[in-house]
Parts: sequence; structure tokens; C-alpha cells
Amino acid sequence: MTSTVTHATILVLTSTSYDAITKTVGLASVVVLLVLLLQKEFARIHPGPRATAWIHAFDLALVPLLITFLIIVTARLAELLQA
Amino acid sequence: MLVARQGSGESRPRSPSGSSARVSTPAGGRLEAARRWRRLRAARPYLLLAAVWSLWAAGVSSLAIDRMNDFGLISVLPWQVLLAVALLTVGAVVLLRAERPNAMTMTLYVVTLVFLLYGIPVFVEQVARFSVNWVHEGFIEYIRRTGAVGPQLEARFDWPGFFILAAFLAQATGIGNTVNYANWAPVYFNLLYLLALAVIFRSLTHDPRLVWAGLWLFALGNWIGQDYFSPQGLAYFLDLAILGIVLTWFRVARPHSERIAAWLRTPGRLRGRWAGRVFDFVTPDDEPPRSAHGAQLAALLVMLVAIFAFIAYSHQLTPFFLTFALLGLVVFNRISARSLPIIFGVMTVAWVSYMTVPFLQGHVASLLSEVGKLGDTVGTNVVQRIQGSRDHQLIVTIRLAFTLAVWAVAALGALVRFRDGRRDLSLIVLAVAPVPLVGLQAYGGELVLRLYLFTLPMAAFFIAGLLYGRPGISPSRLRQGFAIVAAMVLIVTFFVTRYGNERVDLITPAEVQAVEQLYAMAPTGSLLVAASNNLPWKFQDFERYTYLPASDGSYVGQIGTIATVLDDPHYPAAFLILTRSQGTYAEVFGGLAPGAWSRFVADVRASPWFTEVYRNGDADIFVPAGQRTASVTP
Repeated sequence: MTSTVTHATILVLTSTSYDAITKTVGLASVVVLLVLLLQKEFARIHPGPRATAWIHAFDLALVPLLITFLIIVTARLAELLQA
Repeated sequence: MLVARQGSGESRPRSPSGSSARVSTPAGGRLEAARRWRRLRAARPYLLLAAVWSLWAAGVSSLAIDRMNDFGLISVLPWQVLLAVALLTVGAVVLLRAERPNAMTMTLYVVTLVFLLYGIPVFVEQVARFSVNWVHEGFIEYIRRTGAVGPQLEARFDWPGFFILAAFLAQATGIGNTVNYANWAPVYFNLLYLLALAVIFRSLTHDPRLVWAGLWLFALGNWIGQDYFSPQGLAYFLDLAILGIVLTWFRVARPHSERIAAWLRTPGRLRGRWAGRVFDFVTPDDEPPRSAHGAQLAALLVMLVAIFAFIAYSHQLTPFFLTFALLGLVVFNRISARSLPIIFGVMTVAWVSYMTVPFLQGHVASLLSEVGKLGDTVGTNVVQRIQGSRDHQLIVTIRLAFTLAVWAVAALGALVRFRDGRRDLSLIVLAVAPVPLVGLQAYGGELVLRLYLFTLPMAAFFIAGLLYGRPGISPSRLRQGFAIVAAMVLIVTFFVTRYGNERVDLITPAEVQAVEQLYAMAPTGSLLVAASNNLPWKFQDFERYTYLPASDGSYVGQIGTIATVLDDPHYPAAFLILTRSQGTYAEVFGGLAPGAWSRFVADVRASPWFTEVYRNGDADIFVPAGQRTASVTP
């Protein structure tokens, strides 16, 4: 199952152009990142153990999303510089 | 007082006709006089207001704007206008002697001040001043005509929020051309700024006098002129609104963390007693945030993100200033919404990297090359600005000196408040946070100006803090007198610095008429040439023409060069337009000798390479000799 998913993901990423990836996967990750960051702020409004747990959970997802975002932006700028 | 009221109200005898009659006893006379004095005393602020408005109106109606020299508006400003602002300021200082000044009266005073300072062009200039206003009208006209934006046509369409909003409002209200109302922009934008600033200042002090004085100083110190009909004008208000919301509802009452302090005090690398002290110093307590329910706070958060989205969608620079400011507040634990700078940063970078590709394609290398070149930024922002005519150089020098003086006095104010036990860390962070941007961009030589604008609210508060908001210290008469004298200097400086370019910014109806004739004559695809961009063009069908202004006025005197430029077979027709405002631009900013522009226009008229097709008192339109274009009678 895992290898199928991995294989499918690699296939999707390699079969489409870089520009298309940044405009689909990239944009989707930006939207998810923003939604999660806002959710984290909502969780912070009501302090307590449950909110803390939620914030930690959000952090787990946010770190890879932020890294993805930085990679996408850097790659887009690099592409523009080369053009 | 109660006795006096009863005496004056109930014991008054009635005349046969029913009207009240005067009391003839000496005691009654005294009461009547006291009552009249009280009434007069209560009416004094409003009588002063009436006098101020009358003086100002008299001054503005006699202002001969066309006689300005390179010093700008101050060279023709009637003394009545200066006296009106001075009297209003004295009146405000008197009102602020009360610990709780009447809010309604002070509001009237502040609104009056804004009109007095920023409303002059509305009444003395017949059409929208400042050529950029006309360009913005062109963008709005394009959106209204086509229902779309054109990023491939113009870089500013990569941040189209303001233009779309203006087009929508113009369409919805049926007001026609927005440029007709452009001269009002500084008035309503500054009123909005002061509204947002009042929220910020009220979150920082309980002393209403400090709030009012801070607002007053902001209005007198805002010489930058970025409050014209522009995206940055609106974005600045939204920036202040976000800061007001954040500082009021999301501030942290106790930013000090004992856990971090204990860790810092533990001896070790980069740790020890001094590190603990620094930490204690930068984490002073604050007032608790204004109470709100969870749902209200959530709604505020959504509102903050929505407002910021509009800013990121509308202006290039403001999102960076705001994100840096919020980042500073989060680093020093001054606000509880710690993800906000990340959200704002992601939104800004995402917008730039995805939606401004047409702009980036031509500029990304040059933008990145400016990073870290602090010397170049200072050079383009300061040194290169001191050019043009001798009078203009003096104006620029006064502006620089004034800017430095404001920052220096504000720093003094911050020190005095610190000595009084006020830390004001949030304000200091907000004042310092945008400074790193100077190292990232020169922003076309305007970044230091913007830096001044974004630090002005904090500077105004700290300067006002020299007089008001000091614990147990009420301003003495001597201090008030000193404040009035300083305010008088500030008033004159305001008119010198704010309207120092007014001779260049002034646009006349004849120039607008000439450009309208140009559009009537020029077929689609024509080449339109001018000696500079300082004329009211591009306000209609802007994408249908190719504009070729000489950015530095270098066409002046170069008749052969202009003829070569116009003689381009790629265009169906070519036009040269020379206007009064281009001449003033060349004289004020380019240092062109007086009379040289008139000689240049006369030479073009006499040249066999050109045919004049239109002329009025302030403009000429030429075509290359031999080009068939109908001449238009003005």
C-alpha cells in the first residue's frame, strides 16, 4: 500500500511540469499552511491542556508545510532568475 | 453653582409680554454677569474655531497659486492660513490644560486641523494635483472599461486591490471619474489615520491629553505626501488599523517568563546574570488586553487576516513593514497572536511569488542585487535627493533635517518616559522593527521616506510624552509656552516640507484639456512623447498607446533627438506634448535655468521638423512634419 502511494506520488510529480506542480501542489500547500496557522491561533484563544495538545498537533503538520513552502518559493525565484 | 442656577432660573420676573426681564438688584446683576461669563467661557473654544475657519477661508480665497516659486506653497501662502493653524494649536494647548479635555471639542479641533493642513489644494487647485493621480485614474478607467486588470501592461496591476476597489466604488456610486475627487484624498486619509492612531495610543496610555497631543503632532509631522489617491495611502490606514487591533485586544499583560529568566540567569555560554537582566528589561508588564469573548477574538483574527490579505493584494511595500512590525512584537512577547507574522509573511511571499510574475520577470535580479547594499540605499534615498534648483535643494535639506530632528526629539521623549518608569517596549519595537528593511531595498530612493512615515506614529507619541502623560507632573505654563513656540515652528516647517514640490505637482485645467485633445487626435497605437512623466496623461485608454517620456527631462534642448524618436515607422502616428508642468519639473528637479523651457518650446515651434497641431496657454502638441493629423482649435 505504502509503496503504491509513494510510486503514485512520484509518478504524479515527475509526469507534470515544474510550473504545473508549483501551481497545483504548491498552491494547495500554501492554502493548507494558512488554514492550519489560523486554526492554531484559534486554539490559542482558549488556553488549556486541550488547546495545548491541539497546538502541538498543528505544529507537527506546520513544520513540513513551512519547509515545503520555502522550497517552492526559492525554486520559483530561481526559475525567474534563470529566465 | 447650584444657587446661581436656581437664582437665575426661578426668581427671574416675567415682563407683561412674557419675555424675561433683567434683575435690577446688585446681587441679581452679579449672578447674571457670572452666568454670562460662564456661557462665554464655555463658548470660547467654539468661537475660536469660528475665527480660525474664517481666517483660513479668507487666506485660502486670496491664495495666488500660479505665483509659486521653487519653495512651493509657502512662497504664496497668505499669513491668515498660518495664523489660523497657529490659533487652533494655541486653542488645543489651552484645552489640554484640563486633565480630561472634552472629547467632542477636541475631535472638532483635530478634524479642523486636518482640513486646515491638508484641504488647501481642494480649494485652490482646479483639477487633481500630482500627475500620478491621473495615472491611477487610468488604471481605474481600464478596469471599469474592460472588467479586468492587465498585469502584462503595467507592474502596478500586479497589486490591483486598491484600483479594483476604487473602480467598484466609482461604478456603484456613479461618481464618474475618481480623479475629480483625488484632491480630497489627503483629507480623508489623514482623518482615517488619526482614527486608527487614536486606537493605538489609547491602548498605550490612560492620559487622554497624551493621545490628543500625539494625534496633533502626527498631523503636523506628516509631510511625506503618501496620502494621495493611491494604494499606499489606503494601505497605511489598514496597517495602523491592524496595529490598533493587535495592541488593544491581543497584547500580553505579563510577557515575562520566569522559566526563561531562570535559564538565562544560569551561568553558561552567553548566559549569566547580565542576560537575565537584559531579559527582565525587555519584558516589562503591560496593561491587560481589552476583554473580549473567544468568538469575538476569533472574529478579530479573521478580520486581521482579511485586512492583511487586502494590503498584500494592493501594495508592494506595506506588507513587509507590517510583517516586520508584528514579528518584532512577537519576538518580545508583546502580543499573544504569535502566528500572525508567519501568516502575514506567507501571504506576502505567496502573493509576490505567484501573482507578480510579470513584474518579477524583469526585476527579480535587480531587486535581489540591492539586498545588503546599505550605502547605495542611503545614497539614493538621501544624497541623490539633494538636486535640482537651489531653492529645491534647500527644501530637501530642510526635509532631511526635520526628519532627523523628529527622530531625535522622539528618542529624547522615549528616554524621558523611561526615566519616569514607562518602558513603552511595544512602541519602541514598532519604531525599530522596519529599520532592517533599509538594508534590503532602496525602493527607488523612497525607502527612508517610507521609514519616516511608518515610524511617525511612535515618534509623535514620544514627543507628546515630553509634555503629557508624565506621572504626577502636570505641564507648567512655561512648558506649555515652550510647546506653543515649538508648535509654531512645526507649523511653518510643515507647510515648507509638505508643499515644497507644489509648483511641480500643480496641474492646470489647460493641461488636462490639452491631453484630452491629444487622445482625441491620436489613433490607437500612437507613440506619445513628452519631456518627462510630469503631466496629466494616461488617464484614459492608457494601454492603447506607447508612452515615451524622458525620465530625467533630457529631451529639453535636444530637438534632433526628439525628431529621431518621433520618426519611428513602427507607430501609425507620433505626437510630442509639452506642458507647463513638464517645464516646472525640469526647472525644480532638473535645475533647468529659468526661461530655458520657454526657449526650448519656442525652438520646437520654429523647427521645420515639427508641426504644431494644438496650443493653449499651458501646453503644445506637435507631430513630425509631414504627418497628417488634423489641427485642433483650442
